[in-house]
Amino acid sequence: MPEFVDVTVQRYNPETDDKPRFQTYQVPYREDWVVLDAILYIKDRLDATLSFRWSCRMGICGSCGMNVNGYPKLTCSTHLRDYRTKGLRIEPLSNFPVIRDLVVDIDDFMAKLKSVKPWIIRELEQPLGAGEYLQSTNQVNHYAQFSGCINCMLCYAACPVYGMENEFLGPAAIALARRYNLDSRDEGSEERVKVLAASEGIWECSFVGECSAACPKGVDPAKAIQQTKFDTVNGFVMGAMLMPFGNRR
Amino acid sequence: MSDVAEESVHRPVRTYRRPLGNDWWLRRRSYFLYMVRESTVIFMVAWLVWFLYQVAALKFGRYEAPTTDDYAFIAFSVVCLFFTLWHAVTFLNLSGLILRVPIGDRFLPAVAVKGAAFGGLLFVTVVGGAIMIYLGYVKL
Repeated sequence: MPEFVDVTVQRYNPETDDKPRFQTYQVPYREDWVVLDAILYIKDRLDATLSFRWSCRMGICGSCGMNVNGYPKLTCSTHLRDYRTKGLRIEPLSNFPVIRDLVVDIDDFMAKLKSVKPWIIRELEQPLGAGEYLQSTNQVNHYAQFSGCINCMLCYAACPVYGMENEFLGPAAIALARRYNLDSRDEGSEERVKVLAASEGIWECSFVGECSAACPKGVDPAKAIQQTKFDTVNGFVMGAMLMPFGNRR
Repeated sequence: MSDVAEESVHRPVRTYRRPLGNDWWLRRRSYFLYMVRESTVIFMVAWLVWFLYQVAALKFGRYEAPTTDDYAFIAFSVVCLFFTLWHAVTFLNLSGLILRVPIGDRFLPAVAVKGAAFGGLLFVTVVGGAIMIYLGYVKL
């Protein structure tokens, strides 16, 4: 006799529903399944109309983020066995507009990500023949933690500040900006600081810390934000206030 | 694809944004503790307002030193001290995470930064306390 788990899923069809509703499915329990397997089972065997995002199934692509029993999780890395007795309630990531069922609109996040220019900026590019931009192990270690971000947006779903103020640049974008600001090959920090130090940037964050708790990759965006706050003030005081002509280049 | 067609493909008919609600901070223990941490500042401000009032009273000759049987004042002070320490400890606990003191191409270990922060708090408290006790003793 197979064991079953009740999986309650938020459904929303923009063409027929004014607001979301919940639907419960009975999914067979398997010790080795992750939550995404249960959702895929629903899609394949029980209800083909269910919409959700997923891709790699190994915690790399960051597309299967959903709220599992109220907490933002990568469903491909969240085991069904941890919810065997509690039951499962699957919802789309909080703080984002829902397009359909478990699919959220990520346009706002993508625009914010692009605004911090998460790539290496050089004032003058070396010709390819000049060779690589070399780094020591210590130089790599300065930013390695922040480079683990997979843009899964769980940090945005966990952040009540972003929930209240959608203008907030948000944890992942700031963590990625910091990743490049700390990179010894990069020379674009002055371009990024205009976005980071704006009123919608680092100063919106009141250090709830849930972004770091939710991050499946240990990126610690809260740390990145607080360090950026300190460096921004330090740079302003030391550079612009205390040094003659410090605010000029 | 034309702009109009592209717009119709990429733009959903309608989206639903779930409201956060005023009770969001009651939904998780971590959110609740965050609100407690932020609320500690209320008690710090309350004590500072009382302190400024006493300074003004001193200036206008209406100052009366609190006595040891003024239990309301003692309770108020203890509550304010508790939340001030809570605020200070939660803040300084993060100093090792936030402050990066460069030493060559490395950084001072976080535990050393945190130790210095707590050491500084202890130093300021002891020295400040000693000065205040001394000033009270000599009744300037």
